[in-house]
Amino acid sequence: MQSSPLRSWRRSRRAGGAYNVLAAVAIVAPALGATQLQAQQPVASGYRDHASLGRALDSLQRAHPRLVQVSTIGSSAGGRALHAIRLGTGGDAADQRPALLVVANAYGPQLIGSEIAVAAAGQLASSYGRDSATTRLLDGNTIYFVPRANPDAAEAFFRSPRVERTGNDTKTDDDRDGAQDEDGPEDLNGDGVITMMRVADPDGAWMADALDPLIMRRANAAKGERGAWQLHTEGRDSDGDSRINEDGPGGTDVNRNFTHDYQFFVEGTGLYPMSSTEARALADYMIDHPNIAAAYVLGPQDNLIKPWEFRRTTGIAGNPPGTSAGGPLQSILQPDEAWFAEMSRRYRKATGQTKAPPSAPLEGDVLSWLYFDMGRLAFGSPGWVMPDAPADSASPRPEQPDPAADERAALRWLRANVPGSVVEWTRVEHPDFPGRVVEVGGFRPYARQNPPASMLGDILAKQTTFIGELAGSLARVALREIRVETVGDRTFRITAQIVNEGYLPTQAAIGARVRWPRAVRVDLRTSDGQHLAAGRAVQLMSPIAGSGRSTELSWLVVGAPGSTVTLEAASPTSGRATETITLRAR
Amino acid sequence: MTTTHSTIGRMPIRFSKATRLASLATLGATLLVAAAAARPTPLGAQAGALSAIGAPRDPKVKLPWDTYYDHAGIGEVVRKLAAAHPNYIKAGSIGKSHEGKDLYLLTVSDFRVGDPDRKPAYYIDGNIHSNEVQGSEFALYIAWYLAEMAGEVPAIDSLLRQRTLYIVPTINPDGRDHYLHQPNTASSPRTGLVPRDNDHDGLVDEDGYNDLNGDGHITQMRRRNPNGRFIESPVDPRIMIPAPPGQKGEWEILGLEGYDMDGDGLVNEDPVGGYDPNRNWPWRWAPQYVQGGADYYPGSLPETRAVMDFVYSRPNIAAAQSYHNNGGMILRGPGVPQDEYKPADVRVFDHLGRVGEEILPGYRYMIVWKDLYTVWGGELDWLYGARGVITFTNELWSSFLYFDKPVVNEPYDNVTARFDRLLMMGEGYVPWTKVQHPQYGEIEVGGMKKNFGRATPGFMMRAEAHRNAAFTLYQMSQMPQVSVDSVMTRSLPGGLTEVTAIVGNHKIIPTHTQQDLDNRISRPDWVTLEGADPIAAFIVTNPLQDIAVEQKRNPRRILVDNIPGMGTVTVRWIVRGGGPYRVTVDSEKGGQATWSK
Repeated sequence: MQSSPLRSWRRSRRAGGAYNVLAAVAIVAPALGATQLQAQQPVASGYRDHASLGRALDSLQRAHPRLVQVSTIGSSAGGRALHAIRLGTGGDAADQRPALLVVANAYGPQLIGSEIAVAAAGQLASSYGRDSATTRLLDGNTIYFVPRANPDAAEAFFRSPRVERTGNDTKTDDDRDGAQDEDGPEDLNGDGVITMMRVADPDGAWMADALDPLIMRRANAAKGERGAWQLHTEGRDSDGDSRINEDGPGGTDVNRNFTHDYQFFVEGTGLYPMSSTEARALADYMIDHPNIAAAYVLGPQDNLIKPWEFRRTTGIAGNPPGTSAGGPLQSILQPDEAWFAEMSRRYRKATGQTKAPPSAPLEGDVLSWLYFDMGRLAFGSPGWVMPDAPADSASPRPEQPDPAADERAALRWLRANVPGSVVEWTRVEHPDFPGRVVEVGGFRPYARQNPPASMLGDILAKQTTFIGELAGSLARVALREIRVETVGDRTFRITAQIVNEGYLPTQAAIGARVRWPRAVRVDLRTSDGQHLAAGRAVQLMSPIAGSGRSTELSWLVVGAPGSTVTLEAASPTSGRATETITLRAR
Repeated sequence: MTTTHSTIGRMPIRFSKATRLASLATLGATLLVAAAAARPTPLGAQAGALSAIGAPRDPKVKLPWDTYYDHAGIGEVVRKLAAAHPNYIKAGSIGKSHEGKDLYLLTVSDFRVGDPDRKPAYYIDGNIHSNEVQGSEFALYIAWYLAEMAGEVPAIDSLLRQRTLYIVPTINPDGRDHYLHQPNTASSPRTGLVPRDNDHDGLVDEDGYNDLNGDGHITQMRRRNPNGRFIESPVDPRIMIPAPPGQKGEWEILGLEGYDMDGDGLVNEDPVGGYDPNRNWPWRWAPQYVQGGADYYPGSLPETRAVMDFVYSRPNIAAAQSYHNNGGMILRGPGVPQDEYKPADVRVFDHLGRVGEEILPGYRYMIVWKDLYTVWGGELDWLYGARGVITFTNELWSSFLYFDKPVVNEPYDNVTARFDRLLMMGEGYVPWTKVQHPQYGEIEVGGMKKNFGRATPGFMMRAEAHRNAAFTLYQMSQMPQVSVDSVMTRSLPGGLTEVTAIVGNHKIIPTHTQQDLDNRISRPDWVTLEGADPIAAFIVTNPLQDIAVEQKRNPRRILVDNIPGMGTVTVRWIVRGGGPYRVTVDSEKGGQATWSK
């Protein structure tokens, strides 16, 4: 089930009936006021709107001028700057080091991702020079952050009434009536948030759940159930077309606008893949940073609790997937399975999280794009998953999987832990339904995706640990076991091992297929008077697995004893190693 | 060398006798015309005595139609056409290329009648692949022909009144100029000029071709070698053939002119660019390991994006053409097997394609993935798939046209070389020439020139341009055109009136293709009643049995999903008030029409 209720409701309408749905909306803590959202406040104090996020990045850069560079990489449909943070040492030399990219909040409702990105950048920067592991890390690797990839959508959190939004500010004519964004939601009960709305209707398709009446589900006629309600998002029919909220503000969901398994003609996915300036800005940033070896995407797609696995699939007409004849890949490549499994283990250890969130489909999202189309090892998590609530002893164990179980558990947890995060059904007068029973209620927007402020500190610290660990796992190329043997007069055989001292491979299997992340290039440079008799002056290596795995190469050089050659192994994603070798047996 | 026979005073190809011969041919033609006119006016400026059928007798803009223009030359043609024909041609630009060159746009319509951006429109671009140049000239020819013939042929006048033609002669001007001005083969470059690291070694565009004999053409390299497996053909020594089994060869073939410029042991492995602009479109785009040349993402190239932005901004585009070369094909999608064109649309494509085959002898109507090869992220698939636009890609020029018959090659000869000997006087080849190669020592270079084999030969250009123009004009004539065919009124009790209107589209292409309808791409057609107060509105779904479905809201404007090709839709209102009525039908792709009484 989708994490956005508004979206799942729209989907269900389209599909003719997914299960439930309550809106979600979220608040963080009722006490959280605008003044607390200042950059000066500790990161853990709450969530930031676009302006205060910008101020926070400014102060981060001011506090760590030699480690942090903040740049603008594009702008949103609504004209908001898209920020990137570079965390690394030595100025622009940082762009030459193997790097991790952290992308957050392409899916608008998950503001937590932005906070994790900003907190991790800040905490790691503060630890540099104090903590030896962090110092070593940032001397060897760079971390880029795009803390808010869809700022237009995120901004909806800070507006009244608060409504969960996934789309940027592109205006759309969702109902194809010639008008754009003319029928959005309205706050009927004046509580400042948009939740769900039900209208009593003997012909309605929906009924209240027996165990938690806040949950609405479709009546199952086969079981003799009868619906009693229509279900809508909260609002009126603003344009007199007998439909409610069918064309509200919110255009392209950046997290459904990328290329891998993009869904054409589905509301919210945009005009075409990469139609949004936000998606293109992120893609161009990737293109400009060939040193990005891996990525961590804070979003609704998870592969860190439940790692991606290789599946044997068949392409078009029985041809192998990942080829022109077979079509796009439908599964990760088998050799990459190990990296996902191990990083999942490390993620669980670092964060203590074990509950698998329901992963959103891999359809036009940032995570699958980074893996399948950019060839990077890409790891994804919402960053926070609502903990399990204690089971309700009153509820009988359902005989079949009960799709409402997750909703009930979420409601139990929120009622117990986040005051005000649930709006119980409240009667309102509705101008479009005079004399009818109309009630408003549901999850407050954003409540299910974002933890209350009191929990942020612990989450941000653990996520920072994981981000550091992931960046520290990148491949690191080295030259080892260099031997020079005399083969004959003035003829020398040079042998060397090209070693990967990191944990992750020099190229994922997908990277070797996509070829945007470059292979390790090995150059043996001779000078005048020397002749390369065997072996290649330039060669591109197949992927080298990490943890000290290596590939051995050899060359035959004719030259004056005592003269030197230079051996270099390098790739933007694996670093650079150089040795000067003297032609003399050793 | 440069020659200056053309009226626009600019010759793009500066390297060979080829152009000199071409210009002599033009001059010869001009002299003949001059003799016929028998007036002592300067050469090239006088009209003939009798117009040849299908050609303007005294065109305002005189163009030879037997040469290839570079980007600057195209710009000059565009400006001259617009200046000479202000009622019919507007010059503009849809954006800039990577190198900052304008992507010129010609809007062709009768500007005295209606808004060109609301008339049903046909979109044409050419030269997406750098070396596939003639699409630009052929596209310009259509604009020229229409404007110069306006006022002479009623069918052309009516087309210009009712339709708009958007022409972007080259959507790859950087690559075009590289092909024309730099040493190349007939097939290079295919890519545009955004630098890419083809061999993934960290360097971009560092090892392209080398014009070893300095003649502006990249031809073959061969070296004498007693162990080589090739000999010269006994019929034509310019053709290398494998030595027959049991016979020793004399030559080894060393590939296209070039040497290893970056010391990696590979030759010509990273020339300019490094992608295929026709794999960079958003419909069924797939990454490079599925589709070579796809580049980073759909629309990653500035030229692709400019076309996309333009087409998305012109919902009146109902049909389109993208000119390529070569092979004599009238291609439609799908490009990949898992797409299936909708049956209703296939009927339209089939009809147009068959007419195209008739207009274009030697061309065959084909489906990309089935009859050619699989293409992910192609432009024509995007135009149909994402926009619902009837689109063809013509592969201009075909070896069929050498002798107007299917190609059958003899064992020691081929049709191309034979055509060159018999009709081009041998101009099409660079004879084998000795050169010193930095790595291979003494070698010879020679072979087909870049302007032979794929680019249409000069004396045949105008004929092929005209036939392709005629195919476009036929499609333009069959783009949807809405009409209000009749309006009937009937009095009802209580002072009410029933107004029934039949709206039609008497063209082959519907106002919405099935692809458009199924995916709700274009808005519905609007049928609006003015002059009375409608209290209810209906679409009469079965006029014979008088069965009608009510449109429950906004009765003034009835939304019609589609007016099918060669079809009608009946709508009805119940109104208070007695007219006079005015019924308007307004379609994004089918234009507008009004009936009033």
